[in-house]
Amino acid sequence: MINFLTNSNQYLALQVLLPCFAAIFSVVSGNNRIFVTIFSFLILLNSLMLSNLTWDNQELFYHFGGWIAPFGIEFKINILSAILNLLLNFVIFNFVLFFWHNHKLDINKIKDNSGSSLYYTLLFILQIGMNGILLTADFFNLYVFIEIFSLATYALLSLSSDKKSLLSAFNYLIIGTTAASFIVFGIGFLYSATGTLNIQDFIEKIPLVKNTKILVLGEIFFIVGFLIKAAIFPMHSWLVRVYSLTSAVNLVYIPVISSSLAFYILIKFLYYIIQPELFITFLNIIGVLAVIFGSFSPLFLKFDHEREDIRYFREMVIFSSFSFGGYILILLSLNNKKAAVLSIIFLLSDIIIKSLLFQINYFIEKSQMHNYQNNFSRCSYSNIFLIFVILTLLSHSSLPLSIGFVNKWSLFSLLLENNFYFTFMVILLSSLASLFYNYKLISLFYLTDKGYFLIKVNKFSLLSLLLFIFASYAMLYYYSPLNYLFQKL
Amino acid sequence: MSFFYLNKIIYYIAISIFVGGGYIISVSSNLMKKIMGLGMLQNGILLFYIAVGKVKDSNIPVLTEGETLYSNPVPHVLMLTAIVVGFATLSLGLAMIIKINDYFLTIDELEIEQQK
Repeated sequence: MINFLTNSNQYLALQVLLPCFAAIFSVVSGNNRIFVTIFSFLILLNSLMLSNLTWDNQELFYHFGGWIAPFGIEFKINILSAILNLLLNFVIFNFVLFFWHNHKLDINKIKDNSGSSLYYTLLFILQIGMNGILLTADFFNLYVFIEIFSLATYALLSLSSDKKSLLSAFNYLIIGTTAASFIVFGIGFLYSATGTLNIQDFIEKIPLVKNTKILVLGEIFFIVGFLIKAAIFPMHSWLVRVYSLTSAVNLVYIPVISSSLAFYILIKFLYYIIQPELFITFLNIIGVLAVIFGSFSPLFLKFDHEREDIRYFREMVIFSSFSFGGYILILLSLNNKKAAVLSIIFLLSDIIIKSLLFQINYFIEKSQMHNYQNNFSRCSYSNIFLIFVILTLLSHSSLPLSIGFVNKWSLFSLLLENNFYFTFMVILLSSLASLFYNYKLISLFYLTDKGYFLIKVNKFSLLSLLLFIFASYAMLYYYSPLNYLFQKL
Repeated sequence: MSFFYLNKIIYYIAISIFVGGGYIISVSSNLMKKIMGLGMLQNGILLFYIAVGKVKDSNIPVLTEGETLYSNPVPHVLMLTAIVVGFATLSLGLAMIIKINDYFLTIDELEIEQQK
């Protein structure tokens, strides 16, 4: 027991085991709120512990069954995966804490208590997959955790008051599993080229087989699989369908987690594992297309006053999130250290901003549904909520006094340094477009004479928004230390 | 020159099963057929991995006297995991099809799209 407590590597295994236990126990616990919250808090505490242990740029290892790396499976954590782990577990903890009673609101299939505890079982299974993807140092293990994560996501996204969400979730299952099959095919090629599945061992063996056909084929399959998973522009249509039909409460955490995980793996694979010289042009073209699509398509969405479309805000956010993937790919196509670090910071700030946007969307849809059901003609108008919305959209449209502005500024200076003038022009134009659609979003709160977007928000729930706003400004304050931290990776 | 690469024919079979599965997924509107196509796609990968494990002129991977060359058992073990994953995906897909049939009274995608 003493040995267990002093050996800090055990926390790595616990990070996956704790959600495992929680998933099993929440089946039998029967809608016990305290139980789920405590478990979720324990997992968050454990990830806090892990990030504390890796703070001095240390790496922790855990070898399963005592088998040392190339033969056995190992877990490995460094400062980047620790911070991501902390942030994403916080997103889930935030969901459990603040959205407990709300998940029943428009998921009409969960009516009794037992169904509700099954919802949390799925949530914990999702957390197993998420933590595993972040911690594992083995290619095949990565695939297995991706599938665990995805299976939970398919089941959760099919829950909605709109029954067509079942069909869209089914199509998501087909596309997602096909993408995972591409990934596992790629891993097979990588394995037959190098003879190893351990990532560190793989990095050491790459120079021996550099630019052989089989290695390049494996890399192509792997990258294409993750581009489908991340819903980059030509393969985006499934994501629009599934996210616009599912219940708003699922959107509080699923889009944030799944896109950030896919981009984390892409950054890790393209910059830290292989060198992407062969794919630079491809990444740049795909990135530019994604930015153009992501920033101009929201402009063509019409707000339908007749239909009283409560899903307008949601669709705007979904479409605008495509340009974020484009920025990451453009940064990766620059292929230098500064760009890789900036892409990581983009990723972290996107987690914060996107979860803010989807939480705001949730509050909007909830108060509109209230309007329909109880025929409220007036809702109280929360000014604090509006301040939070403005601060979020400030960051989303990358205007000054926000983390989005600093990110955009660094991106522009980096592009000019590397003589990417065409990409620079495209991003400049797309930023103008994003100003325009963010103006359209904010005007929904102010300029409608029908008072359409009047929001009634629980004061306690506002705390969740406050925490994320605080996180975004903390990131702004510690911008250069954060940069320095990732520079050393 | 061995024109057909007969010793590599297993890879051609694996790839054609993979592509055939993808084709079935993309053309069929019946959800059941889509799931079947998905299973076929995964089976192509299973075959590919099993073929990767074979070493030329090798023995089965059981320790025996006087043998030095063995097949690689690791890809086979990996495929055990992949089979389980495929099974889980298949069950979830079938459960969704049952739910879809309950709500829409059909499992044809085009017919569901026409329903309001």
